[in-house]
Amino acid sequence: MIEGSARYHAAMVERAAVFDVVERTIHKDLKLAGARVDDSTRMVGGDLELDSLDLLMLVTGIEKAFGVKLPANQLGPQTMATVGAFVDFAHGRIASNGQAEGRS
Amino acid sequence: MSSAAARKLLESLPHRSPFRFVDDVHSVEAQAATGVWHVRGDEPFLGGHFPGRPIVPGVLIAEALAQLSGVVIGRRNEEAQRQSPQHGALAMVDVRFSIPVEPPAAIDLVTELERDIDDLYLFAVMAAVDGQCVARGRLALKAGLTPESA
Repeated sequence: MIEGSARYHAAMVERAAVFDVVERTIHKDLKLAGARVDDSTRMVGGDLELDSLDLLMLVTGIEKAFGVKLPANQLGPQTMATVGAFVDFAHGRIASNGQAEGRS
Repeated sequence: MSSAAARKLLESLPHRSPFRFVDDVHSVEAQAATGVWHVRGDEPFLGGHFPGRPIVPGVLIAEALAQLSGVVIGRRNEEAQRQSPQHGALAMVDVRFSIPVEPPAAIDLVTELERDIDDLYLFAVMAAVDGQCVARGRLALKAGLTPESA
């Protein structure tokens, strides 16, 4: 691996932690420092006006931070329209991943 | 993958001299590749960058890393490449250069695919000289563009 990834125990991840990673990625990696980021912030088609590369970096940011895979076929308007929708989606995937780990 | 197959993938890129900055591909997998750029010291751009003190331009090291990343895309889309060769266009570069590279130098190149969605590919990349990292960062390629449309 070129870069290491900080991993959390998936079962213990709170939604706020996911939101923090999303907010940090938007401000730092997407170079939108100062942009207002809350649950209602629209990621596509308004407010942030993120493009497909921005969304790819957001997905990668979550995946690296929490060691989870976000299925590409579930990424779309419903899961990425707003920051809140994306955080909910990612948090749900992280939680279900943690439950799967707990069962294994 | 054999060196001949790796060479074939490298040749499938549209870049040619004097804008080919990967001389050899050592390994290619679906997620990563390694290669090398041998900077001799007589390349024309070094005459101006800089007179009396040649330094390999960082943007060209980033370009070399992008070209090697294009080889990974070629490896992943080998079947499609045979039907209709596709070439990636650089969509994003975020690379830090830690040490100036003075010629002659063998610049070792490493790229690892972090994630792809549709036709976008995000890579973590690193370049080193004599085992010492000279550049590190990320870049993105958008596949499917021909040289004419890029």
